Amino acid sequence: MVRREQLHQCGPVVWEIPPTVRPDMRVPARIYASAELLEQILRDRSLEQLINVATLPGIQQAAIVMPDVHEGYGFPIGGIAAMDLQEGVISPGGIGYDINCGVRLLVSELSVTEVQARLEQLAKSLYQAVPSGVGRGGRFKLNVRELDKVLEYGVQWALAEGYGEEEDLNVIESRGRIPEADAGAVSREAKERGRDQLGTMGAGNHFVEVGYVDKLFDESIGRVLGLKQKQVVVLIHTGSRGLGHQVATDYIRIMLAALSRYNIRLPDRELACAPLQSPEGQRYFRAMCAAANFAWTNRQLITWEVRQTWQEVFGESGGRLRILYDVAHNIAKIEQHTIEGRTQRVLVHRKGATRAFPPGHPETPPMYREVGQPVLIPGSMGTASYVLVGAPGSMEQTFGSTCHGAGRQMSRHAAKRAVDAERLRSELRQRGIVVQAGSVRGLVEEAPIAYKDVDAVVHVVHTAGIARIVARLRPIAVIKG
Amino acid sequence: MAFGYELHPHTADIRISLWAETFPELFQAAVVALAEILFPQGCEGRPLIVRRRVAVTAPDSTALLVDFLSEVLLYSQIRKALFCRFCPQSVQETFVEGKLRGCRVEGFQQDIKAVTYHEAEVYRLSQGYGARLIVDV
Repeated sequence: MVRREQLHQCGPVVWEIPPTVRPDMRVPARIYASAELLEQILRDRSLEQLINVATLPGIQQAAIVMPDVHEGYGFPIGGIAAMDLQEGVISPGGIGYDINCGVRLLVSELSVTEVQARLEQLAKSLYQAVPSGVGRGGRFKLNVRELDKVLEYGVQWALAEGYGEEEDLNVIESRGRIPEADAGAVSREAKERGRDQLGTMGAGNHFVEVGYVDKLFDESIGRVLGLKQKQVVVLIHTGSRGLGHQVATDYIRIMLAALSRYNIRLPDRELACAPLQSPEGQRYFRAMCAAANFAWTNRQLITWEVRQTWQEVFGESGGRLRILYDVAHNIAKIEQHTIEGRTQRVLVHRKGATRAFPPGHPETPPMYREVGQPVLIPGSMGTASYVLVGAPGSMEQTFGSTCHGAGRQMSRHAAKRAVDAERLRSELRQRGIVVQAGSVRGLVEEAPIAYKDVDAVVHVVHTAGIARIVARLRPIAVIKG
Repeated sequence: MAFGYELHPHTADIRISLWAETFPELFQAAVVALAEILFPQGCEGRPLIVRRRVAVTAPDSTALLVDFLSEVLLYSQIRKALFCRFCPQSVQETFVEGKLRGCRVEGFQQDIKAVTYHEAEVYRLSQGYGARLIVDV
């Protein structure tokens, strides 16, 4: 285990493990955390995993973790690693099995008081409209040709089929499509696994949540984002479902078999990787982009399901649901960054980390460019979620990245032992939160006690100057698989 | 039955411990453990009408177990079936072949993303074999 005394404090919320701690480290390991969160982080093996990441070929500047970090498999969850495009590797484990797991925020024209009377009905209808799809299919069943279009065109396919509005594209990271995607790089098995899962949220920590703007910390930025006090919003958290999981499984196996060809030695098999410029690396990159396009399309189809439901429940008086933004938090992207004074393109792995481009960045949608790219941070079930915007420090310190959520601190099993389902339901009800969940087990596993304090997590990234807190959201209905 | 398993907590995942008197039985134990996670009620009272042949080759025994179980998970997802029995036909250190049998289920209770290589290990016990695996849920 990494010991507290091996860390150097570099700033109020920044710590570093120097590369001298282990001879195979190529760069330092950097941690963003308050002193309290650091104590929690030191309890699991996140930092050993971070040191392992610091050994990967071609890693630039530092292996980085956010305050919501926790132990994963291979890479820690909450990690960022930028790789040189020529000398560096690409690692499926640095992205995660749920490729382009991400968050989308829809904002309504209604206030919380206008929604309250029909909240139960809304929650029930959303639960029926957005299936979990765990072990069963959703409403969209595509043939292989259509699925290939989804993989290569992403949200553009959905709009062409009538599942959205043209302006939706402007507020989705990468406009819902990475053009390097190649459906031919995705296995038949992966396609088969995901074929009927579009428009489904999955289980685990995935959800659709109805909430409202509880506090605006920055009213001028809030105005640019179109956020108002008490405004009702809908948060969608899901990813590429079985298709993405199978892409990762396939390529980890392929890359493990190729390690000796590229003379790569790893401390953990889950760090399986290949040089980005190798045939295996290139093929995985194209498959990963295709899975990312699938995930954005999945969130688009869920948006369509939510919009339909909204209209059924509220009719014309419900107004429209506008997408505020959609961010990926499990992905690798080729981006331009400045490293030691030199501007270069690198492959940024974000596993449980969110892109957070600052004001003025050319990839931020024009309507948000003066304030920075919106960042969506879901809290644990029943607690607050946050809207932030990217800040200039993200480009200087973290390859344009920030945290992605509250961060799990308790195992699912431990949560089940610690939490009584009925008591949890009743507590949530007392706080005015309606719950529609597929299973009691799923509910208790996601109880707030199982997660870190999201307020403390976002405070760290705000203090570090990598993202700026704009608004706090409070849930009123949670819909889970 | 000369095999068994235990499920242990892990921060965001589930850790599986397996043991068996023989190497082929280790694969039987793995199938039963995976079924327990996916659908704790198991196949009890349901006809075992879903069959699937599985054959996997891997560089070593640990990778073989991980890759085998990944195949079982894949078939479970594609066939919407819970496989609760494995009849091994040929099992060597780097090759496993046999038949899966299972039942139809109306949905799983746990969404397993993948069987991971993280901390995976197959090892010899004084009498038989043991293994550790982590599944990402």
